[in-house]
Amino acid sequence: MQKTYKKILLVILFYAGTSQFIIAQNTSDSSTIIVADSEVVNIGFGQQKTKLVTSAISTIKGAELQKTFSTNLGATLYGRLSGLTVMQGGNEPGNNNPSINARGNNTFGPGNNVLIIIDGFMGDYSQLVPEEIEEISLLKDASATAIYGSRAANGVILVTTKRGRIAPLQINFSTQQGFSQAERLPKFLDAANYASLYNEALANDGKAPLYTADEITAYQNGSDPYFHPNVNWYDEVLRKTAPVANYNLSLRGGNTTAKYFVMLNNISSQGLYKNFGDMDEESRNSTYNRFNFRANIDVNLTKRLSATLLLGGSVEDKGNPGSLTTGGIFGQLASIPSNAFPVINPNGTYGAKVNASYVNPYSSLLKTGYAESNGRTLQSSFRLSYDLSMITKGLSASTVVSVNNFFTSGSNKTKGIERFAVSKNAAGDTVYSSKIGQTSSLVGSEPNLGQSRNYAIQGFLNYHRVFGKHDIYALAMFNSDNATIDKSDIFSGGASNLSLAYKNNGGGGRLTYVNNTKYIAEFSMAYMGSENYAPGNRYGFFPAASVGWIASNESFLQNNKIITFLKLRASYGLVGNDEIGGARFLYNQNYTYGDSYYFGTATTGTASLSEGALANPDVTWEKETKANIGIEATFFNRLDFTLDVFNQDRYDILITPTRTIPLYLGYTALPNLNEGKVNNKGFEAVLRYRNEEKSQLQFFVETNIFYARNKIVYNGGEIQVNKARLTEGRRIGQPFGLRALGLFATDVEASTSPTPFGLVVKAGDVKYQDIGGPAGVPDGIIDANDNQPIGNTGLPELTAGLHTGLRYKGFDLDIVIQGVTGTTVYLGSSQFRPFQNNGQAGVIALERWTPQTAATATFPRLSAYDNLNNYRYSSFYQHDGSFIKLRSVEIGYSFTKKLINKIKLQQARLFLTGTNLFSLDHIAYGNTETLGTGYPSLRTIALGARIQF
Amino acid sequence: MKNKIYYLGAIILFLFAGCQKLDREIKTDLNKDLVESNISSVRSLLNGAYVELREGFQDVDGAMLASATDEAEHTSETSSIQSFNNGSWNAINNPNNVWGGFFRGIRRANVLLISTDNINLDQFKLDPSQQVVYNNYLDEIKRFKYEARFLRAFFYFELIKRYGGVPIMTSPLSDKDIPDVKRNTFEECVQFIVSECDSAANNLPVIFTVTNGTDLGRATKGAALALKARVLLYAASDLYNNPSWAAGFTQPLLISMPAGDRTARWKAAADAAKEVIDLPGTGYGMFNNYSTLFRAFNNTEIIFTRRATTSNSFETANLPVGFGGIGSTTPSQDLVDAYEIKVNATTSIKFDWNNPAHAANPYATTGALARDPRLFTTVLVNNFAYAIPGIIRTPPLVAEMYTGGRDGKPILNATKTGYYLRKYVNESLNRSNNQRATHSWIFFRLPEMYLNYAEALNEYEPGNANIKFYVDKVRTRTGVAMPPLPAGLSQVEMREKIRNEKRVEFAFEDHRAWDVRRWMIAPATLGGPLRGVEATVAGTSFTYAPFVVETRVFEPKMYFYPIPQGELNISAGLIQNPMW
Repeated sequence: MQKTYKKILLVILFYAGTSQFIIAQNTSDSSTIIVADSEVVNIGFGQQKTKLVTSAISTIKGAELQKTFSTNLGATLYGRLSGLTVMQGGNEPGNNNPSINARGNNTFGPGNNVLIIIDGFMGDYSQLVPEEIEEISLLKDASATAIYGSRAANGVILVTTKRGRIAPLQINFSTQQGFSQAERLPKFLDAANYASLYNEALANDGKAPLYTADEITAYQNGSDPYFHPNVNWYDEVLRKTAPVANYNLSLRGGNTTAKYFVMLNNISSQGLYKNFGDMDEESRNSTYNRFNFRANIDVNLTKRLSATLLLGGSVEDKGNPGSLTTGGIFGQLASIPSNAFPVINPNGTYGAKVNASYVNPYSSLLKTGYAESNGRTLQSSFRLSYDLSMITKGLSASTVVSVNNFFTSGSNKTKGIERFAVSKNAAGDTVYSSKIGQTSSLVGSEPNLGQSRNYAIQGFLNYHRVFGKHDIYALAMFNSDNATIDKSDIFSGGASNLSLAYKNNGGGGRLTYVNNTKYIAEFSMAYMGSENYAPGNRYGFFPAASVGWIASNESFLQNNKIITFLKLRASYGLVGNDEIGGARFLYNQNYTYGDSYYFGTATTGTASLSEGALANPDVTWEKETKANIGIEATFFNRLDFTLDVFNQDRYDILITPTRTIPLYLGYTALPNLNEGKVNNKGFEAVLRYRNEEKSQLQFFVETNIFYARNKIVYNGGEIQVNKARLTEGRRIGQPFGLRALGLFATDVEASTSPTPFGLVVKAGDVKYQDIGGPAGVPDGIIDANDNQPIGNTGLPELTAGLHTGLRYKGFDLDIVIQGVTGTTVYLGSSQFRPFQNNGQAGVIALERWTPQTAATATFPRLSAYDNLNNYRYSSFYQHDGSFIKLRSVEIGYSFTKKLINKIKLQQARLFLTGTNLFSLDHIAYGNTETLGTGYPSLRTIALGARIQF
Repeated sequence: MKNKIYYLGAIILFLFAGCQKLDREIKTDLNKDLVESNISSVRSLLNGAYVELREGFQDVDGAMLASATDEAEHTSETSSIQSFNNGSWNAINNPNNVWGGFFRGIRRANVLLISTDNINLDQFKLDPSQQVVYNNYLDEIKRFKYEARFLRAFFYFELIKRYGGVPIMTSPLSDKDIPDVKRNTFEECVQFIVSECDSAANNLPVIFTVTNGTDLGRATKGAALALKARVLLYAASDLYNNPSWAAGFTQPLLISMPAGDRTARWKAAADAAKEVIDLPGTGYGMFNNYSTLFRAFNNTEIIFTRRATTSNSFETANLPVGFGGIGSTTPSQDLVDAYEIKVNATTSIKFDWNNPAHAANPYATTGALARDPRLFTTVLVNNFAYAIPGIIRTPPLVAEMYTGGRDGKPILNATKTGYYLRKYVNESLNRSNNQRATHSWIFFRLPEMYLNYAEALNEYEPGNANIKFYVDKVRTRTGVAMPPLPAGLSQVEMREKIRNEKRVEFAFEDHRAWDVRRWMIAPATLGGPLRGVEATVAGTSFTYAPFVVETRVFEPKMYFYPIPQGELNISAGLIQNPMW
């Protein structure tokens, strides 16, 4: 046993820094039950034996991610990694990056992005597919992340792709076919309800009704579809289900000379629009299609020299009728009243309304052309490794060059379409308005939608040696990288500096000492520099240390039947975050143009110039000290328990110091100073039970729970007369607004209570709490002085995941459930603002206040015009954002070896995957995470088959 | 073995080849070197100081500062200027929070002063054919410095009349300097301004004329001397020589001059004003139209002004509601009462509501009850003809400020005082066509020097014939032609006449708020009732009765603005003004 262990370690060390580990060959295929307890785990620029890890890391295998069907890799991570909060972002295929936060939110600065490392280099992981991924690790504490230095403070996600192995060629082919559908769509009033409620709203405003009883009846019975239309625009434009498909072919194998993993993947997910391309040749269907390929090859060139080529890429094609993104059309769907106009007029032209801000979405999709995009990514690295044991035993070196590239081009074909408003004149004749919009022929443009590129060079020296009871592992590395980004500038720099490359140099190291496999001490560090700071301030040092004690290896626990494994560990260190925001090169004094001054008699002014924001010669990155204490235990060899408690203090966050820079310095704009402070603390726990491996029914249950609460310690904000408006001491992203006290019961109550200045407020209107004023005391007027913290932030404080799987004979089942709490959603989109901005009315209008429903109403009295009291940002529209979601379910059946061996197959499996099947939450009107009127969140069901030979 | 070491060496070399330089490759922003080497950039830097001159048209949250005095009431109740009048302003909420703005101007002037030394003129210097241009540029660069020093002195004066002594800064400071910043005494500030004005006056052109083109509007010798005259007049006035109202304040020198020879101070003020009056080569003279004077940027009366881009926002803000405006600044009855009655060519009397004849015909334009003509160009009164292009009102085209009238209550934004502002308003703009006109905010014009001279002279040499002479020059100006002052007025009577003349001549020009403070009559003028007039229709005629629009609050501490609380929190060296 001891011998094998050493051998493993030798191999680890040899390949440390290569992100390659070939001994761990028991990598599961998706047919087997995953027990996330592999022997080794990926750490920064290397691997480490799981039991010797003294830092906080959680991992997941790529095979598990395959159980979620999504075009975005990020969307497969819901509830899977302890400490990672994944929240749904957009839903449109190709535009659906979820937001991810490692251990909550640590900064109010602009850069809270987790560092993504793919096979050792920074990259974008959203375009990868689960089939090419060996493992994803989340590095959380200082000890795990310090080697990434000034980029590490927000946590690090390591993505490791699959590599070849010494085994005969194994060919895998799988396919999934299914459909996706909108989980929930916003619901709006039909024409009859719209008309009658609009009349009610007018009456509330003291105006005469607009619709007669006959008209409302006509809306109701649909007897007059052209002049009294009742259009559900969602039904007109969207289909119920859209097909999705995935094909994957991979080849894997190797011998002592060469090892390879080669993969080709195709995934497609059509949009929810109807097939407008089938109806008009100058439109197109809504499609998303992507090819991913990968070739990872390891070659032993000589006895000591080996080479590795990792090549991954994708080609992504996306197209939509109308415009490339769907936001505009979905915004229209949510704003056109059902009775506004018919889709198509009696004479075949397209319907419209005169002087309306909305256009006919149907004609926009069918008759205004289409847009396409084509994105290409290339991720590549080439590595040479050399065993230097002839210099001293246990020494090896490697060097690697990586080139990554991303480019998206667009192709737009646009034209105009005329529309007409139809009406009846007094004589009862049908009359058409003059045309709205202009029909034109197709015009093409080929925009560049964005690109980014970076290259990096790294070099490593690795050392491992065992001296008796002492194991020593050492790593020294060098990194230099250079990124040019004009896709989306993560540093939000000034436009003129966008094309300048971001350059970083750095080095790092790690030293691990293990005594008798009981006591572990590790020191790691990085020394990193960036050109964004003044000469002299460009380099920083980020050290971290950790210790571990494997108590179960002590003699008093050695043969304990209850506690089969027990480890205590602690880490502390300093890491940085160089996504500091502000313009680049803040150490330089910039000058900006201001108002013109008028000399002479000319009517044109002369430009004025002045210092811009004062320079900050000392500008530097954010820093964070992270402390983490953890315990890992296994009971009865069946029950695993991990608990981590952490405290993180971020400081040097860039702020504009209203409170420390006096006005008399005479700045045009405040400097950006590194003075902000945030504290974030919390815990995470994982509990996992697995039953006897040999029993017929195998199962496991794993729960993880994560809680974090942050606090702004200092942000230099303005002094507040009204103390409730102070953001310090509150959480990052704490909503501030008015506190609603309910609805006014009577006009008298409304007129005698504090209300916004100059408004006539009546019964049924929202009542707000008056807590402040210009002098800091209630002043009888509701305004911004009465703002106070209301509700929770958008980022949940507590997230939990439940992952369970079982296997019985050929059948298997896998379920992932995600739950969050401690978050608030705000009903702010147009579906919750009936008739405002001349818009549609959502079904929430049915819950409105009327004198009859005064006791039960949950929505204020309606107004036909923009109401200046009821729709202020207040707690009235805040709801508990907690939810429990069934993120993925997979049911599979594997054919018995006996059966498939006859046709020379090693494995054959059928499986049914469901993604986002249901949600338990407090919001009746849509998805809690994406409660807007944009592209709806998708539920996907797919049937798959896999063969291996 | 050796081979292997070569391998290792090769790998290591390969690594260091990858080590890139971290210097910026190119500079794409406007940085200090670029700006300072180019004369047109430096000229723009100076413009950066000029733009900090504040126009008073809508300076205080949309209001004129006049609405925080007994000149007017601001119609919008949500404008923060109201807190001046209800007494709720303080060190945190000051509606006229100009502290940062003027210090910004001061910094920009200081930056300009150190940015004029590195201008690269080689292309002219080395070219024999460009020697004239080169020398002109050298002259211009020299002038930049004195313009900047004048502007800095002007900003300092704007600060000290509000805050008392403030820190004098002659170079741009950094945050490292904060611990050393202290308020200079009021006297030090006055001396600094005066000496800066002297330097500027000695080096700036006497005037810029239209004919020499593009520089009209820049600081001149006249402007520098006028500033000096005004600051010396202030320094001689009661408020800055009598800190007794702030008994117990430990640092009286921050808010007043030290005890000393008042006569000498008045004389210095008088001499300075007289120097402007007598300055040769200026062409200064009284303009012949008291109405269009305020819509021009170029006439003989103006010493220093800021011209703005063409706009109609001031008209939108101040036209009566019935003429498409929102009637923001509405003159008070107190101001209207200050305009005298011109009985005949030699006699004028005060208007008096208790006089039935006066009360029956308060707005006479002719006859024995005729009011000072400046009333009707400054204030729009009820039933006066008024016509705005693009506004169709069936005849008669008159302003209707009575209740139920087209410009009166209860219409939203209707005047609360019964008057609308007419001064500065360009009545010929057709705003329905978005027609715009130039507006010009005058900082110094000649009659101020006349009245400053008369005021100072009357304090130390009452009876001097020049006093009456110069006041009469203002009163009897073309188009106004008020009777000269009677002979033989006592010092006290003359003081009242001068103060009233200043009030009516310079209404809405940002003098009143500071004059009543330095005269120490603010409790009775800024505090107490502000009156308007109620017009009542009786057939085709009107009767008028004054009434109290609001009762205003003035406490002695309001003689000065409080230093902003945020500044005190940062700088231990700053001391708050008394009683704030």
